Amino acid sequence: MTSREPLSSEAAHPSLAPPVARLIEQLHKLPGIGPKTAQRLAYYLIRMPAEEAAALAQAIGSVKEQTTLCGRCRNITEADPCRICADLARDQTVLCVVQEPLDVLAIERTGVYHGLYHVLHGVIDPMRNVGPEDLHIRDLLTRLTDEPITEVVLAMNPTVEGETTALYVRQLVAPLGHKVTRLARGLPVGGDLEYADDLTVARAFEGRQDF
Amino acid sequence: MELTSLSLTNFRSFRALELTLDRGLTVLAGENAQGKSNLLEAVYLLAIGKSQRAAVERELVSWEAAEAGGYAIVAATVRRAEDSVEIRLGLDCGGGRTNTVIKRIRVNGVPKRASDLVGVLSAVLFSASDIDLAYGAPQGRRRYLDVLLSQTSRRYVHGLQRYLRVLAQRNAVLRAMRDGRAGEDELAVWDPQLCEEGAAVLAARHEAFERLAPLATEAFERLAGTGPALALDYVATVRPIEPGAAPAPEAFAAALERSRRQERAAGMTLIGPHRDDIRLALGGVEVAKHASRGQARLVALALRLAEARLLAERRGDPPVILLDDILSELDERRRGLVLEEALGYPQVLLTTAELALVPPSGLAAARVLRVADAQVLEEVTA
Repeated sequence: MTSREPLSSEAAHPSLAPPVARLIEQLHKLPGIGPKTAQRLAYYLIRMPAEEAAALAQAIGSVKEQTTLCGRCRNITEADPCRICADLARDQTVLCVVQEPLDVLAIERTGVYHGLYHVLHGVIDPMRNVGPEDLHIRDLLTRLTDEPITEVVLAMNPTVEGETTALYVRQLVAPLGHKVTRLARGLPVGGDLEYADDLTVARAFEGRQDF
Repeated sequence: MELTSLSLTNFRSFRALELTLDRGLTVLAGENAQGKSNLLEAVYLLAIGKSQRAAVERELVSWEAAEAGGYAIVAATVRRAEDSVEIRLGLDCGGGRTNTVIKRIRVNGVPKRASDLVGVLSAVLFSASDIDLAYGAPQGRRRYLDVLLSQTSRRYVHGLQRYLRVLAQRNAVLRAMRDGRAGEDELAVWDPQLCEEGAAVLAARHEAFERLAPLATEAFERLAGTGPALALDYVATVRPIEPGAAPAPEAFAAALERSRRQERAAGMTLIGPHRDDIRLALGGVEVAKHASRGQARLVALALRLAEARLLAERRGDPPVILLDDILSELDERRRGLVLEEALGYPQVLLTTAELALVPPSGLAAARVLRVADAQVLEEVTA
């Protein structure tokens, strides 16, 4: 999230009690929360029963205290190693590389994948000064030499930055001799060919399969 | 295609305007600074998704509305060859942060991205500043090609966006390398995408240019009569492997390799469609350096006429023609020629400060609207 400018004069209006103004200011820093939404949320919180508000405050406080990055996959976890890494029933030979912790959740929800993960925590993005060394790529290479992994699945988003990051990872992984695959790109299930954008249709065509 | 209605809310000087529009010629007459050009700007905004002249989009929202965190809306109904669409573009200043305008676009009520709006309505704008196409920097001529191609193919819009994105990232790496903050391996990973997207942009430009160049040459001949012919040449910074063909990704990669040293020193990517140009020459003499203003003006007109023709051919549905105050700079014969050619299209919207400049043959069948102080009134013709 990019940093935001201080709230307009409206939020710092003298009729606002300073604690309320502070709360609005903090809420406004969250992604997707504009000034109006921040105000609405603030007044909702004020009317909340005290114990609920305390529970929310505590949840926010403890999420920073009680979570850490998994020493293996770098996903956010309470216990290290995380549940997925600790689960020996999972396929230890396949490793799926994703951008963000939320991507793990998205893939887990499908129930089709039973291998391990590695979370990069971002993509290469030079315009925002994010280079390869800012991502968990070195840890990934260490895992590939230390663990019995045979296949690496690259599951970055099909954006310009995602593609480049995938390419970068592939270049580093290739000399190690692992099989490298990537997620297919194509039409959304339940979607209509007619309404898909040209690029999606083109990619789906390029990735067509025997039937 | 044609606009059947146009509605403006808080758009520049227009507080609220509802206008029904007809086929054929509509003349928007009025003194300077009354809002005539703003009307054409609004139509063109719907066609290409951005203003051709506003430096910041906040300018498009009336001052009062912008100050109050309000919004402007431009909406139109467009009758096309096979259907009719409603386009609505909102410019919202209520985002909270100063000077940001959020664009909200709906086509037939369905929200769309700005890049998916381009070409829903196709239009060609002729304006006095077109002379920059002939005289100005290459950037203007690249933009001319890009706007034209964007209106013919959505794939081009998306491809160009991706190309420019890769380019910006790659330039950031080159700058970082110059400052010792990035290594060679970080640069190389951008190259495959740069070459692939860049080659696609070049292929599309090349293909369109093959048709565009003769159209412009012919249009110039009609306007200029006898005299030196207009020749157009696409000047590519990436040379194709085979003459006459568009450069493939491999040719792009090879050219990139050759420019490594210079681009490292410059801290930016020096080859690719973002550095190309269209060279314009009259009888072998470069227009940008040696043409008279009169000649340059006719060259620019020829480029616009070619643009309109190519759009009509590619879309199978002729564009709306917008003539923004171009008559005053032409002699009587050219005024007649341009208007006659424009009237070959189903709808022409023309602004002028003086009705007398409109050739009588065109004026006879025209609807005349008087624009004064951001109000539009029907002119009662005798």
